[in-house]
Amino acid sequence: MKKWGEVALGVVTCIGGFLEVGSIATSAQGGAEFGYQLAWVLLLGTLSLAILMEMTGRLAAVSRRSYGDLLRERFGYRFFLLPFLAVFIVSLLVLASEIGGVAIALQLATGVAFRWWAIPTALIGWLLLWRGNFSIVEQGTALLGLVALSFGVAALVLHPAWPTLGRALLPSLPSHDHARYWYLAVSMLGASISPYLYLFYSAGAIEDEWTIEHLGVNRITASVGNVFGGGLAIASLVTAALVLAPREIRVDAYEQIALLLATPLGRPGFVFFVMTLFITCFGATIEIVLAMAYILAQGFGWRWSENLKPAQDARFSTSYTVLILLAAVPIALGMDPLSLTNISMVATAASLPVTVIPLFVLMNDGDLLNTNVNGWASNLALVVIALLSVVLLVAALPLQLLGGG
Amino acid sequence: MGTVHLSRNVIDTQLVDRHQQKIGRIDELLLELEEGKPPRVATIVISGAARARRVGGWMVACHRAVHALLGQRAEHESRVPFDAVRCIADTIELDVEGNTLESLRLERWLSEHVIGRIPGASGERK
Amino acid sequence: MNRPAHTRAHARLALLALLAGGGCGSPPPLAKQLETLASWTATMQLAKERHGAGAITYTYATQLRDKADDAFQQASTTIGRAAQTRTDSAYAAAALDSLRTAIRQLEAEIGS
Repeated sequence: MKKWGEVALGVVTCIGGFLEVGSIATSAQGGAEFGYQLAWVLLLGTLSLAILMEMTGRLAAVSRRSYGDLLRERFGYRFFLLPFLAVFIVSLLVLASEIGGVAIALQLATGVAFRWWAIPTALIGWLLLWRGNFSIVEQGTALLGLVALSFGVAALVLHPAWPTLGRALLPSLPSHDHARYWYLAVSMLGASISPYLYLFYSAGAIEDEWTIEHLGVNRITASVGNVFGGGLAIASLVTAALVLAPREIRVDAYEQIALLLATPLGRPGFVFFVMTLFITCFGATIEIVLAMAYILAQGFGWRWSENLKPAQDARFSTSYTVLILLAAVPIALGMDPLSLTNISMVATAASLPVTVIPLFVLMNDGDLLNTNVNGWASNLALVVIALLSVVLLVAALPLQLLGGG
Repeated sequence: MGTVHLSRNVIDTQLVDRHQQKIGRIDELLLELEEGKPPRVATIVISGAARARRVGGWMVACHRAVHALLGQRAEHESRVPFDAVRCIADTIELDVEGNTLESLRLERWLSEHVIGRIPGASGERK
Repeated sequence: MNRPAHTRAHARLALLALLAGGGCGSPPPLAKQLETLASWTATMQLAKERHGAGAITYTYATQLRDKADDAFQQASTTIGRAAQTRTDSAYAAAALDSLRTAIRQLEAEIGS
């Protein structure tokens, strides 16, 4: 019975967790400029993320160490620095973007400019980390994140052309603006496959004291949860395709995205949009800063846990305190949240190889996983994802220059 | 009886003290060389300088520069005799008192002077 | 590579100019600017319709209006450089005009 509760919680966490500032912004841009056509990118991103999360979850449950721990233990300090620095720098950018998302939500609601909300957001987030334990963080963001379902409702109300959408789930070439199309594809993949997500998931498995008994829970959570989450990102794309594209409205500012829900769902839609943006970005803020503190603590062997009082893991709590306040600075200085989001999504896509390729090594390590090592199908999937990540690394900078806004 | 691989199972492994508290990772192992005797693994080193040395000369220079900036002269390094090892598994358990280790000085300092000063930092379980 | 030093320096400068031009500095091409203006014009029209239907708040509508205004100001300064021919200038003027009208209409609707 308890296991089903855990599955439900995990699935619900993924629903809201998938949709955050990056997914909302990139899907909206994609739908506005190319209609349904980029839906296959979201499908690809969703499947990749589900696979990566299941693996890092399995790794933690069986070896009783998180992916962050094993990056140091199995590859040595010297190699560890590479994924560590890549994840750290990219996550800081994404963290700043998420704080931007929360700030924009508050601006939409109150009219007070977003830059004034950056520091307060960071402080509230900090307070939650300071006083809350892992269950509160997990359950809170999960349940509140259900507001994101409003995107699904909006898409359904707009009566999408299902056959056309179905065809769009297969890769296709654009008829115009090739550089822009592939740029958006890369940024959508960066929004979907974020290293902080599977690193956080792995550390979370340790916080929740998962064991071999949890492998089934892990599989269901990672797959079903992300399917729902990815479905919502596709809903965002579809809504943009049906509301913005016909009117030839491109997304040049975050403010325009609120029209996505305000058009099919009226005032409730507008309210739900603001709430979804606020809650999902806030949840992502907490997750990212924790993921960064986790990899720092795990890499250097410090005490760490959201369930400990801050004085008991002082370096860990100092880390998340400093990081969340530091990340608030760009938005507090007035940096455009949409530009920041777009850049951080492409940077995320480019950083993938250093966390995907080591995973391949670990998932085939019999000492760590015993009989739970990858089968041939899992390995094949992981190799495909690894090749994809290398393609993204190579393509990211040229596409940013040629197709970036 | 079994085999333990130094690079795979010992170096970089998580260390815990006699209270099962995490106290760092094995950053370096020192062999003892004595005339007429075979070399033996003698000391576990937990140290930022040791980590820097493993990366390269430039990292050592950065490390020294940062410490000079912070006005610290001595490196907060812990050297624990390898004899203190009680158990080698997913973590390596040492028969030491974590609170006395030099390498945890920063942790203690932060706990007392920074984190501890903010309300809600300690007390009952969360 | 045995090219003389000044040729290498020129090559480096050219590369820098290319990168800079690709980023900031030169105005976006005319087609892009016209698209942006059309996009904001349509945004204003949608906002006007949505406000009329009670779907969006006054606070939010003014934020949209302000953003459209920023886009208008920006385009006013840069579109002149991008419009080379008389036809181009005519298109540019029409696009700016549409946006200005649409902004006014939204302002009238929300009573601002």
